[in-house]
Amino acid sequence: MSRLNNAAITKLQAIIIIVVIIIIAAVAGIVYQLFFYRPPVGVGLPPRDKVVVGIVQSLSGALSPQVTMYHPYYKWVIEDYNAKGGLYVPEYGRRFPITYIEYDDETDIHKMLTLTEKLITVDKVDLLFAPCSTGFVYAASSLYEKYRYPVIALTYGSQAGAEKCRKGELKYLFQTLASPSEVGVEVRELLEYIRGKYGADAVGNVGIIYHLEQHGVEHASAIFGELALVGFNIVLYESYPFMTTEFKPLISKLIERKVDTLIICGYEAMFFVREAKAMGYNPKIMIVGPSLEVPGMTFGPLGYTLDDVRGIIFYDGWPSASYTENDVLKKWAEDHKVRARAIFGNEYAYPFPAAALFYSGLQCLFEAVQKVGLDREKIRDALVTEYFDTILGKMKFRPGYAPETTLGGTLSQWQYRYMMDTIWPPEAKSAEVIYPKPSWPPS
Amino acid sequence: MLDIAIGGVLFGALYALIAVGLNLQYGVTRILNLAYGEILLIGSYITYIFFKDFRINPLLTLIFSGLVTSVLGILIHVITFRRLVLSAASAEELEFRSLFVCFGLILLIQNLLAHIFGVTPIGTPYLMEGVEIFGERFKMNTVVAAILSAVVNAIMYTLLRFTKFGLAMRATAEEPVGAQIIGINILKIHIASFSVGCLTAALAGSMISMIYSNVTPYTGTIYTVIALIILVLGGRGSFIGSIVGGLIIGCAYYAMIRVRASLADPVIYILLIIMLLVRPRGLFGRQ
Repeated sequence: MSRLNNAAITKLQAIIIIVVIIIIAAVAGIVYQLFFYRPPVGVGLPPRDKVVVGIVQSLSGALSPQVTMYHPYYKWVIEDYNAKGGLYVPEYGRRFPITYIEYDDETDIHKMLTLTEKLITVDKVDLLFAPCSTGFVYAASSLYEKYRYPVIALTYGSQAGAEKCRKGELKYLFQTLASPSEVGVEVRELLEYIRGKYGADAVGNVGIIYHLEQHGVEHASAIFGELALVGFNIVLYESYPFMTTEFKPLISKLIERKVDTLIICGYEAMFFVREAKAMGYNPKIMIVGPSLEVPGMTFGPLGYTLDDVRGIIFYDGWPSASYTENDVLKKWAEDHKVRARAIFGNEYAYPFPAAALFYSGLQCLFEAVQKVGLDREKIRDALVTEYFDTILGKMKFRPGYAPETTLGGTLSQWQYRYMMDTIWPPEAKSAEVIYPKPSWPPS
Repeated sequence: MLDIAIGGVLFGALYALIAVGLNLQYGVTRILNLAYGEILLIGSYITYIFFKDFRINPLLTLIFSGLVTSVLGILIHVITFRRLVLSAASAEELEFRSLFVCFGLILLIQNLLAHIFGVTPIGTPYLMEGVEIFGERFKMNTVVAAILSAVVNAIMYTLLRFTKFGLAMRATAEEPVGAQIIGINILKIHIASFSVGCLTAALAGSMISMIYSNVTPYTGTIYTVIALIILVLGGRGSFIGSIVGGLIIGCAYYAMIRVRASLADPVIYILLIIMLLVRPRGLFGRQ
């Protein structure tokens, strides 16, 4: 009996042993869970053989030229990911080819909305790409909110939209271009830099002309506000009809008011510059909006030479990329020239300042999928919290603002190459700003 | 002031060139050719092709664009409008039914151009240098366009005023039934006026390709609207009206850009509304 009693364990010992076993089991479980457990892949998920992207854009009608010039990146980015084996979707643990369903809205905003909803509810696409132009994107943004589709907008820049994004009213819309208030700051900073470097009179009298459309009104007002605050002498602030071709009378006014620094907020610089050259009006600084930044257009159908446009600065808040300074971008720019040749039919099909930004914005969307899968809430969250590797280096979206990029600039200028050089901000520039703008070459 | 006066006249002359063809077509045939701007674009594209692919001087391409579109005008009339002219019970019915044909033509031409040339803007920038007139500098191509407009309008005037053919055209425009009674083949006159209208549209289109260099398959409507405004202002079917209307609109627009650019478009439409209220038949229109 006593031997038996000696061999027996006490109740306390038993409890200790049990607790130790439980602790060991728990630790082993945690270690296994953390380091060795691999969840079953694809279990409980619907069968899938591809990732489908939905695109509605204006393939015909008035906006189709813009789609052709500014949206080839939709197809390119899909082709490039497919060439690498497709898009990796973590919940399935494998790559899937990317396909797309594309509809033509015929430049009809109502049709665009109907077709976008069809892509979401009938075609049940996994991802969406944005339509072309600020008005169309802004209109579609309510659908993105309703159905919770994170969308990267390329050709879109609206102060009103940006403010909604900042307030969290538009959670699923991400802009690649800077909003007008950001452009205002950039232009002011550049002019202050020029004033600081070349003397108090370097900027001289400032004239701001803008077209009577959302882009012109918002950008001109933002730039005016910034310049007025720091005491630049604005001698002319005037609007003109949207897409007017006749600038001679307005140029006479600019000459009369002795405008040294001219800012054109609109898409009409292509007509303005021709008229200014014919009249011999050459301001010291000329900053223009979208119109003359696409090399394939500027040196192709528009017939300008590099000498004609040298010194013209491009704002539009499109963070330009230093295509000439970085190997990845250099290669991308050369590929661009080959791929876009079919669009422009000439040898100048180099990227425009925001081209790489457009492409990298789409890369972010795909990289977010590769990181968090096809859950759109997770994609949305990843876009605002994560930095993704793109051709512009690390890139992250900021709701209501231009994205953060390693290689992003903000203002660019035509200098000595068939691609614009980044001149601002200083840490991103590929060349020093040319000041004053050179005189027009002889015809 | 001098720059506004000269610039306005140059600009107005281009507008007159744009409008003269539509006014002739409508005046003689009562067909309001809403596809006029698209036919004008065909002229732009012809100039573009001949310049780009064959390196022919853009001014010489005016001959080709004129010839091609005048033949096209005949074809369009024979294939589409002829049947309407023959079957319509009244001029009003013809006008109404032809509008639908024109909508179809607009879509057809736009899509054909987009299919053949793509939608990327094209242009034939030419004579962009400045030229001095009374101390003011203007683009050479706008001066050339104004000269072309003057020449075309002078030829048209001579044709309408001093030839039998012109007399037959005027007779058809003013009194189609009477014209038929005295033996004028109004169908032939319709075809001819349609063809001449397309020819002048193409000349305008070729010049526009040189001046603005931003032509797409979808920019035609702008020119149709300009021509319609001038037609209403100058008077439907009035040759002189299209010249005067073009000059008024051109000068008013040009002057407003100088005075207050944002009011340029509204002023044009106010002029149009006033004309429709005060003198609906236009400055030189028939009752």
